[in-house]
Amino acid sequence: MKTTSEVITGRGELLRGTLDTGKMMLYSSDVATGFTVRSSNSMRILGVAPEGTTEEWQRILFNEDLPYVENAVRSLTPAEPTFEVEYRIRHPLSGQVFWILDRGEAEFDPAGKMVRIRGAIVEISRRVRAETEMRETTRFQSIAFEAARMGAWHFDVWTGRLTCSEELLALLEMKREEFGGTAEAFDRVVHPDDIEAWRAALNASPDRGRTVDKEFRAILPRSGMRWFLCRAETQYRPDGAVIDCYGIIIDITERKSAEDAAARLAVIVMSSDDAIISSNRNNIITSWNHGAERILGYLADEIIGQHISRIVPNDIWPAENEKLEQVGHGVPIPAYESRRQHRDGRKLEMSVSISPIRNNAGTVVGASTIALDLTDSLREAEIRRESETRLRQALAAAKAGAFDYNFTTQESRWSPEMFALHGLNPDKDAPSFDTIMAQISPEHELRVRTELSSALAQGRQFVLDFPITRRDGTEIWMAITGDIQKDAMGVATHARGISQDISERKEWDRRQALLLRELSHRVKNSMAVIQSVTRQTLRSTSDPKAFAEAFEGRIQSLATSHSLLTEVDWKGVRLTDLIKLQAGAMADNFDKRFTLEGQEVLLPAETATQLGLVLHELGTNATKYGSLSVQKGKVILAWKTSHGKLRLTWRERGGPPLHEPPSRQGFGTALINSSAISVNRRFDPAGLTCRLSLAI
Amino acid sequence: MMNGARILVVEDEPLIAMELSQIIEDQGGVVAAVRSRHEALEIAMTNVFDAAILDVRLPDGTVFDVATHLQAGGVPFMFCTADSENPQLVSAWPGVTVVSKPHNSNIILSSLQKLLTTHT
Repeated sequence: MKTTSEVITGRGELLRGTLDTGKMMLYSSDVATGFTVRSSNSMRILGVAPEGTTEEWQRILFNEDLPYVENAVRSLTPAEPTFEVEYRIRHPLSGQVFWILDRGEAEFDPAGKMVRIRGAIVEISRRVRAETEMRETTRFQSIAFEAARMGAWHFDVWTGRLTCSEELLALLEMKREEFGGTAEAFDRVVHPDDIEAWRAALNASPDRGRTVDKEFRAILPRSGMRWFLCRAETQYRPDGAVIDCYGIIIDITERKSAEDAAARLAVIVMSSDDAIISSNRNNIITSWNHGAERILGYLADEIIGQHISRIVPNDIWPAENEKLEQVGHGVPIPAYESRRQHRDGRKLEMSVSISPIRNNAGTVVGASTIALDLTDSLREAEIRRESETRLRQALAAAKAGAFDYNFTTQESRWSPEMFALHGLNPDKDAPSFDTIMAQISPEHELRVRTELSSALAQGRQFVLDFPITRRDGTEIWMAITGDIQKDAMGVATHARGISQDISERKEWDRRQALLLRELSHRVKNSMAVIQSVTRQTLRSTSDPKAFAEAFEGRIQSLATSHSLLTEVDWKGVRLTDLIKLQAGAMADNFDKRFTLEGQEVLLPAETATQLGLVLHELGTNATKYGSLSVQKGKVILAWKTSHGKLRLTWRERGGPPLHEPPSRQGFGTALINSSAISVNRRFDPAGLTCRLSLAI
Repeated sequence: MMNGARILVVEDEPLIAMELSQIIEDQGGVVAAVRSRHEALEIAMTNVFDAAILDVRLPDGTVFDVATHLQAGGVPFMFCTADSENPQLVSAWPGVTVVSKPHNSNIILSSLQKLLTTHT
């Protein structure tokens, strides 16, 4: 049997153990005096003595929490005497802060005055901490949700009830009161085409996967159309029945538009006419667009994964590799002209630019190569070359070369034809005005230099012509035609023009001059002949009337021979024509008066003129004094040719008898004597016989 | 007065040759007239002349080798030509009298006189 004291002690022990285990302290305070009695564990648990005052307790109580505690105590009434407050105290010895739960009851006297407070204090720091953490977590979650434009929902499969977070409602710009707690509530904002997708996301079913993502559009009152992702997680019981379905909604509009932009960019890249190729840091091709397929011949499937050197001609790979290394260091390579190798081995001229590709962290992870097919621009260059060729051909046909002198750089550029004209080698000889001056004939140099400097000074067109002697000794005449180009300020910038071989023209000019000289020579010669005829005629007659008659006849004779010669282009005159026109000019009836015996002979030009004049004189004399001066007189002309000589006999018959040769030597005689015609004249009473012999 | 001076006339135009001969003979000269380069060379080699009048252009070429031959033999000569602009004439025979056709007889005679007196 236990004694009462033992029982009391036993109960005390039990209480003490309970208090210690629960870290609970009991207390009782007298409101009037403030005297407080605490359980014996008070010192251990909270660092306060078992006996003390209310003031002493208030000292360790957190100042910030004191008003709250006092307020709680003050508000106690006999009807509501219990209280429960949580506040912080600072351990008087260790300075440690504890959260405590103070739960108690006030005792009132019959007058309603509070006389005593009794209660228990439990240390709740750990719980408070957990709660705070929980709150913090919730708060952070909310912030995170908001920042991520994310909201949470829960769908009770059994009741069909949908609950959602504030963030979700905010995301869908919906007030809580508008939200009735069912999936249909969202039909108002979800894009009509996407309602099914949205419902499907919520509609958990046993045969679908744990996580389901669905994208849908919503038309929001303020933001307009937004894209959302609904991610649903379904929890299943082991037997496959659905327990629960919950998930989140994320605003993915930005990502979507970024995706759209990326997609558009990808389309642009893929459809580009230019080859766009990406490669990684190991120079392995990672992408290959249609342009690359078209230009370089490889399909994306066969080239992706290959080393990029596959499309670079071997001879330039070292240089290209160096460029790729530069790009690897983040240095972009601006467009440069290079070559790439087609699948069929052809080398293509391309404009290539290479840029580094960086990841989000900014690290270079590869290179993007953009290669423009230069074939088109090459084609243009070809057309330019063609027209240049045509110009060249034109210049060559004109035996012309082109030159361009730049006043600023003082450099001359010559076309290949210009070099050829001067017999120079474009690879060895420097094109310059001095080069030309080295070939010029010395007597022309000063004139050409003077003409050129005056043209340059006046800034006008110039034409210089002069003969040059080329290196191989050939001589040609050059004509340089040029003009001065000026800039906007009027300063001469270029002298451009062509240089031509005018040797042919010069030769023609020379012939023309020769012809003119020849003409001049002949005219002057004819005048000299007329002069001689005049003087000779004057010698034989002093009578003006006789002079005029004889002179006119002789001039007439010369003119006749001249006409005959002109008719046959100075090739030869028929003897019979000459006789008829010269000797028979004055006969009234040539055919009756003249008898011609001999074969036709063609007389050369000089002989014709002389013989013509001789025949004229013979005819004139016969008409005046000989056989033709009487009615029945005749002239018999007989000729033969042998050994290049013409022997011709002039025999007059039926004329007046001749008694002696004429006393004075007339013109005809003198002429006959001085010409190449050897003459043998014989006078007999029957008439004159004259034998002529001349070379033909 | 030429007093029997022997004059060679080389002239292919008979009328002019005749006229030149006459004016020289009128002055007492003795004329040998030929009509070609070939004849002129032949006669110059076989005869001695005191002076010569040479036409430049002859049927068988120019008279220049005749002139060279005469010069070598110390025979003074003059040209009488309608081709007085012949560049060879001007450049190759400096100091040689050139009478241009149509000619003035007095100039022919005075020039001839000058040739004769200078060389005697």
